[in-house]
Formats: sequence, structure tokens, C-alpha cells
Amino acid sequence: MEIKHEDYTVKFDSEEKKITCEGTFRLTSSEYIAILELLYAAADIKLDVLHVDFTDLVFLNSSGINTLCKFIIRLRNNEAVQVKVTGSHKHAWQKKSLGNFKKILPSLEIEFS
Amino acid sequence: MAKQACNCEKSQHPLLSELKALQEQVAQLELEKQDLQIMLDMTTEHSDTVEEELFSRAEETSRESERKLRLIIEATPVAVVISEVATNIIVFANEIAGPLMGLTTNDLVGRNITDIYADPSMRTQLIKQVSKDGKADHVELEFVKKDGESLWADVSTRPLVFDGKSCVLSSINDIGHLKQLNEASRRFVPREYLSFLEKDSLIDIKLGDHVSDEMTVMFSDLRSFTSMSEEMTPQQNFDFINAYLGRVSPVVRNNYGFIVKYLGDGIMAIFPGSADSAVQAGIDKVNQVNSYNVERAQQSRQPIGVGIGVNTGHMMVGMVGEEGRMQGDAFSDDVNLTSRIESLTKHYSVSFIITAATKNALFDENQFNIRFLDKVQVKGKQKTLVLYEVYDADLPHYRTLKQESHESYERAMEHYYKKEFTKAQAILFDVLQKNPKDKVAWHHLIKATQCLDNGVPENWTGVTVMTAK
Repeated sequence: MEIKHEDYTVKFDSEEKKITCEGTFRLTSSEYIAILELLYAAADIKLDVLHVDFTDLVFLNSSGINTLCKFIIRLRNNEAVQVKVTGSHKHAWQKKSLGNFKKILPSLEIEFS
Repeated sequence: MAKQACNCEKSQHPLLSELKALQEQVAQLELEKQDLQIMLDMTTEHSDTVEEELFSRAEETSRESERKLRLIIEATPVAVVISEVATNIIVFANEIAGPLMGLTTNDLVGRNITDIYADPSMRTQLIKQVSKDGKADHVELEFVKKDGESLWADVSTRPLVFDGKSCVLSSINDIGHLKQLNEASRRFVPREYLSFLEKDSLIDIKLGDHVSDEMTVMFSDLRSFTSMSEEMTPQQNFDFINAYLGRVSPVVRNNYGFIVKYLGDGIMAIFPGSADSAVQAGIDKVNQVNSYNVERAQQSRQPIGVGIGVNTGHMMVGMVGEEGRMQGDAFSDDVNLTSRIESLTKHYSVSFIITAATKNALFDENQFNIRFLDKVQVKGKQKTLVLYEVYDADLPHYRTLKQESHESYERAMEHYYKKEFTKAQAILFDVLQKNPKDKVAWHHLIKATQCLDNGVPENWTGVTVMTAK
């Protein structure tokens, strides 16, 4: 599953058990609905592990972080999944904002490269 | 009792289930509430983080563009000054700007820019223009250098935010040398001549540029200069000519004309506007010579005389020569005739002659003292010219005498052309009794007498045919 736009890409690879978010997300909350549906679909497969890669996520607005929060809550509610998040020091905001996911899902692992 | 208790348990069971369900719902709601709170906190924190990052980046971008701006300005070979709009304080100047004003760049920064303006009110005008048009290009401004010397510059200005303040950036180009060159070139091709040819600058002048229209042309010459110059050294000649031309040339400019060229001691001038201006210039010129003669008399020098001829007609005025050397000139039959008319001032012993074409072109001929002079046919031309004498600049005593005899004199000339020579003779005698120095009246009296003595042919018209140029 993939949503591809000039500015951003959201991709779910069920074989690799990996979600990749890349680019610049400057969408309105209603525009995030399609992305949230893709993320929910990935969460609901209830894989044992799931890698969420934000390494090339350059920019994310407030509605974007809100959407990701909903996705992490869904993962938490699905209990069984072990979530691993990867980010990058290149994008300074990631350290603080992505780190907060642990408040929702304490078992979440985060790595920054 | 036991049965009652049993019934009670049975009735309590659904309630307990309901309570349990409600408790679960409350727990679920509590969890959702917590999730929402976390989401809210995270979103807010994320916004703050991103906002801070963007702000830092914007600041860095601004600092970076300012660094680039400074680099460009410092490398620019033209003086550049940035000054604050509200206070007029110079906040930045490149290395060229300071020395241009006779200061170090450090001395220049922090000063009020109006301190270096020759006219501080120009600053307000400049700022007004920049705020209205978004720029002010090639404004000629005069600055005052540290030593008080004037500095003319071509200034181009743009609005600019510098250090967060509303400023203007001005590039200051020293045009002192250019201005001197322009001023020098104006001595060769006057501004009036340039605007007449519809050119902004001497650079635009090309060989063959011309204007063809009805205009008034003036030729003037010094009387007996050749014989006077024989008695002078070359230096004295130059000094004399320049003293004379220096006195008479401005009257052309002051009467909306321009000098096309100097012809030795002579001047060829064009008056594109009214013929009245040309006549006034001629009068002023004779008056200038009269004043000069007063000075010369005080220095025991002999007086000089001037002859002026003015004619109006169609002519071409423009640039002639070759690419490497050109000058202004005027052409047409009317121009050639004017030169001859100027020479006739010697023949009639008058200072100022105009043609009928000029007289007819005057808006108000009554403002001048003009009287009939003669009908002539110049050498080599078939056309008969009617000439008039302008005697406004005669010395006051003689002008009054001419005014008093004006009517009689013109009546005499009417009789003359009607071949009533005796009547003409009698009136001219009368005119000359009152003013024996009226050489024109003498001239006509002699002619009338000759006609009486010798008789005239049937086809006599009274036109004076000139046999010499």
C-alpha cells in the first residue's frame, strides 16, 4: 500500500513489516484521512513486529503529528505488536516529537541515526 | 429469611453486571481521555518545536542573506550607503563610501546622512519618491565632503530592511568629472541647441541631425573690425573679440535663441520661437555695444559699431561636417539673404535691419520702433526685399528725433515710390533739418534728387539694385 504525492510518500510493505513516511507533510486534517486509513489498515493486520521509518520525514505539521498519535494508539490497542520507530538527527524536531510516542506506547523502541 | 436473601442475590446480579460494564466503560473513557490529553500535549509540543525550528531557520536565512548583501556591497566598486528611514542615520557604508566623502567608513557610519547633503530637504524628497515608486533611479544630488568641497553624484536608491529596520540603500556614483565634461561640452553645443534638436545629451548628436521649420535667423558683425585688428597684436585681438562676444552672446540666450556658430567676430543665431524675441535680442545686442562703448571711451579707446540683420523664413538647422568634426549650421535661401542684409547695415549706416518677413511675423510690432528702410534687390537674387530699420537702440536723443520725424519720413517715401520726387525731397529736407544725422534720410534725399535731375524710365520701380555683395 502506498500514497505518493509530489511532496510526500507513505508506504506500507507487509512483507518487510515496514511503514515508511518520507517528505514534507503540510496537509489539512481532512487530507490526512486517507493516510490514517492506510496506517490503521497496517496496524489492524496485527503483525508481531512493525518498523515505522521516519528517517526521511522532513516536515510534519500539527495535524500530521495528531494523525501519527492516532496510529500509535491503534497499535497500542492492538496489544500484540512490537513497534520500532527510526528517525534521523538531520531533522531536529524528530527527537522531541517522535520521542513522545513512548508516552502512548511505553514498549515502543526508538532509534535515531 | 434464607429465601429472601436468595431473592435479593438474584436481583443484585444484573445490577452488578451493569456496574461492572459501567466501570469498564469508565476505565475505557478514562484511557481515551488520557490518550486525548497526550495527543493534545504532543501536538502542542510538536507545534512549538517546529515553530522554533522554522523561526531559527528564518533567522539564519535572514542572517545569511544579510551576510551575502554585505559581501556584495563590500565588493561593489561604487559607494554604497544604507541609512535608516526614520532617523536618517547611516547604518552601513562600504569601503568606497567613506573616502568619497573625505571620511573613513567608520566615521561615516552613525552619522545623520543629511549632514553630507548640500540641501538636506532633498533627503525627504528622495524618501518620498522611494516610498511612492519603490525606487529612485539616477537622481543627481549634491553632497558636501568633509573639507567643504562639493560632490555631485548620481544616486540610485531602493528600500531595504536591514537589521530589522526600515532602511534605504543608495549607490552613490561620483559624476563630478562627468558634470565638468558636460559643462565643458555645453560651451561647444549649448543646451538650448540640444533641446532644439530634441536630444538629451551631446552623445546623441549625430551628423545630419536637423530641424526644418520656419524660424528667425540673426547675423551680426562688428563694424571695421578688420582695420581695427590690424593695429592689434594677436593676443589683443583675442582679448578684444572675447570681451565683445562675452557681452553680446548672452542676449541671444536671454531671448530664447541660441548661437549656431561664431563667424570670426560675427554671430549666427537662431530663434525658433517668436520673431519678437529675435528683434528684442538685436536691440539688446546694440544696447550692450553702446554700454561697452561707454567703458571703452573711459579707457580712451575708439567706439565699435555693430551691424545686425534679421530675417524670418523656412530653414534647416542641424549638424554638418564629418564624423570626426562637426558643428551646427543653418541653411536656406533665407539664411543666405540674412547674411547679405547684415552687410547692408554698412551701406545704410544703420545698426539693425529686419526684413518684411520678420516684421510681418511679429506678434506686436508696435512694441518696437521700426521704420521703412528700402526696397532692394541683392546681388545675384531676383527677389525684391523690403527692409526695415529697427532704431530702438539708437542713442536716446537720435531715437526721439526719429520718432518725431517717423510719420513725415514714411510719407516722403510714399511720394518717392509714386515718382513724386519733389514732394519727397521737400519732406526729407524738413526731416534732415531737424536731424541732420539721419543718414537714411540723406540716402533717400540723394536718390530723390538724382531721380529729379536725371529723370526715371517708365518702368521705374524704385528698387535699389545692389551691385556688390
